[in-house]
Amino acid sequence: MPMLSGYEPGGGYDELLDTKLMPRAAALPLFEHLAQLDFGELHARQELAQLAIESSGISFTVYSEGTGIDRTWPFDIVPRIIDGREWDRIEAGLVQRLVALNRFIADVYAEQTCITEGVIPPELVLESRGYLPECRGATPAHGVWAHICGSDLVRDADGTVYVLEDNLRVPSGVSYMLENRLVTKRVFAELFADQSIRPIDAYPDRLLRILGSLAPDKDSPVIAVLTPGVHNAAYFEHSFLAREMGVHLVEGSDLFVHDDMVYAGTIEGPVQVDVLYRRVDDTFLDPRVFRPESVLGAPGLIGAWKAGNVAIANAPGTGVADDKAVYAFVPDLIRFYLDQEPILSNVPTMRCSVPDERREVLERIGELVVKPANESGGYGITVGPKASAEELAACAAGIEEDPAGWVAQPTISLSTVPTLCDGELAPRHVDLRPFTLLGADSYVTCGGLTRVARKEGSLIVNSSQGGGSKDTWVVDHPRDPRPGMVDLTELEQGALT
Amino acid sequence: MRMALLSRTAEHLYWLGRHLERIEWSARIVREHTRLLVDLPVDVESDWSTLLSITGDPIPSARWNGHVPGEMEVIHHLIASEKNPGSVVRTIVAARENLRVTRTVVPWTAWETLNTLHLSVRFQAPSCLSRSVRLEMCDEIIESCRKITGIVGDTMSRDHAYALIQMGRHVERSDMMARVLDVRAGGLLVGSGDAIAPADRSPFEDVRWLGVLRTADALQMYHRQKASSVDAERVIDFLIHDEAFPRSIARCVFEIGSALDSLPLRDEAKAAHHDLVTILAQRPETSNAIMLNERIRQITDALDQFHDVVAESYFVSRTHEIAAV
Repeated sequence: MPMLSGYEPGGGYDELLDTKLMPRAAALPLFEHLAQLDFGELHARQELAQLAIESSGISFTVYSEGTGIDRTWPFDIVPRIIDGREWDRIEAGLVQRLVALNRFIADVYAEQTCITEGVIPPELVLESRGYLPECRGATPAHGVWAHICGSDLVRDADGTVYVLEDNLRVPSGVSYMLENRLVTKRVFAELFADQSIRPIDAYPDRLLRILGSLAPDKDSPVIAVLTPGVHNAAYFEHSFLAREMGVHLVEGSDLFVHDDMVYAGTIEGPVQVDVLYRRVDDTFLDPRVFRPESVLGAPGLIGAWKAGNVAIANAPGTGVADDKAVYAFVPDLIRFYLDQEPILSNVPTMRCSVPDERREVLERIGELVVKPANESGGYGITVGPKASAEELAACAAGIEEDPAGWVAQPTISLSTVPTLCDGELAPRHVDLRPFTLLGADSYVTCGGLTRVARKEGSLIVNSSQGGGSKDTWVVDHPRDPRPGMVDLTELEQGALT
Repeated sequence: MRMALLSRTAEHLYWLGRHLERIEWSARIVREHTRLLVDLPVDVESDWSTLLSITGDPIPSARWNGHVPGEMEVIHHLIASEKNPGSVVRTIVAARENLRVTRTVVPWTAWETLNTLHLSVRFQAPSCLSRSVRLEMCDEIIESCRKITGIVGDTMSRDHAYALIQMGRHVERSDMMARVLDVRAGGLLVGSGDAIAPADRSPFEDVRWLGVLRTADALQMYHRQKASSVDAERVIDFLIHDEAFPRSIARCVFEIGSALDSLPLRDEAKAAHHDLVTILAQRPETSNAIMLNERIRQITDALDQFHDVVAESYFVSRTHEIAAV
């Protein structure tokens, strides 16, 4: 294929091409189409995509040295493609994981059987920054605390998909996933006609349903997205979701609490709010309970929540379950709460709090990825094989100083996807962030947000650190039964009784 | 369920209306003044600095180091300056912030249009000292503003959000109309006493009166309505009192009233609007600059008063009403 003539594989697993550089089955229609285009045409489409993104004002804000810069969302037009059958397994694994994590959170803020039964060391839970003792005794609807989860998935060289992180506080990126699809439909409209790419646009509606299910006593609950405001990096997404769901977009200053009820100030007077989809960190939600200096929440909010008068999604305190030290125990938690084997694998994780494991980390530091146990956004990470001797020494000193603050994992050689770089297709590393919803029922996005490192060999995909993104297609083969469809041949044979 | 409008969102919608109108007027004022120069002989004083008084900048000020600013300085100040909060560039940024906050209620395509305008003006503004670039840019600004007006008018439900945009628009429109009249027309009238005899008038006065009408895009409708040539008294009367022309102050006050009627009732706002109506119903003589200036001040004071009352009535969270819930 001429378009791939100069393609040098990245060494790991390529999502679209096999080891002989032949398109994988699910990617075949894409490459058949690309073969009809020359690079000039491909570039014209990349520019078209960039223009569409600029005029829609799809942006995110990067903070450096105290000032925020609005950056246009970086997007690559070559999609990442996942086989529908593989996706069905991942989807089941994501739901399993989120159900177990919710059982864990509910347990931590109630009887703590996971501790009394010895599944997880008490200090990992009770001394975690994400553990908020003020949340004990709350009883959210359906027993669900984390309603929206943005998991980070990566694929190693042998093709195994791992869960790298569970983001259970205020995961972001879903609006970019939806916008990426809209842009791709403009750019490759013809490709959507002749194959079955699973649609993703139901997300806002499913989110609205989940949020509505959190106020079971109300016929038409008042729902609002709580944003820190226009200066937040994800404000675009907050307003996008509020608009798509047709709900209020509120800031802390719009809210006040009276008699344990939450109200929003409107031109028709105060309106009671039943459900808050909060995109504010939990410790900023209520200055009376958590950080007294916070102006992003509303005084009295936690009291109203514990009284059961307002639902908060995700509930405060869910951070206890996405701490990287707790992460190492998730497979055990799945077995403990659900009595099932985990469908999705965890990346083997060494805990620096455990002396033996710490010693191993320090010995092998040059080949490991060392991460702070309680940070997000890719900050504070040391990638052993890419770090200088000084960086490794500093990292080791940090571990000695605060062992419980660090975990380490083997470097996973993230899979690659062909990406348009300087006039040709070149492999770039990607991860995948699908979004899982849980309330009265569950939902997983078909695919998710694929983030791509833009520099050759780089493993850093975070948009705040220069990463880009791609549309993600879950593709069904025509001969595959569609999800939810019963295979008639099996019925005839009496296989289903 | 219909969503009540947040007080904060309401304030942004009102200001969105004001800012959009302001952007369009600024572009029309600059465009008309630039075009006017083509008609005037080179030795006629081109008084660029009067543009600054229309937009409310006190002149001369320390900013200009005591001298009267010329075309380049004035145009830079009005269009491209990042330091002048009233410049076109800064007002577009402000409108964009208003729209960013109200994206959940204003049609999405309005955001795209304003966003595109923002990128384009940011890019072109440094070259606006060239007259041809400037005229083209003004055309684009005016067209974009009208496109947004069209999108809002054609696709937005006639709800509170719409009423607030309309109210902001017409408050700003009356205010800009008043300022243009004050500075432009006032400059054409004699300081005091009777109007001067036609024979003594400057030969370019007609051109300038035409300019006043063009600034308000009012020339064609003026001719239809008044069926007469351009005449100082008639022009002033038309732009203040005509009840049919959508840019006259009286018409704007009528539109403000309609917007107010569709919002939740606030007695104090209703009263402030009534004051405006009463003032517009009067027709004091405005045949010289002092009289006109007084009339304009009477109107703009009432507009300022109305604005303050609206802000207090609708944009402040009325937490005291909680008892009534």
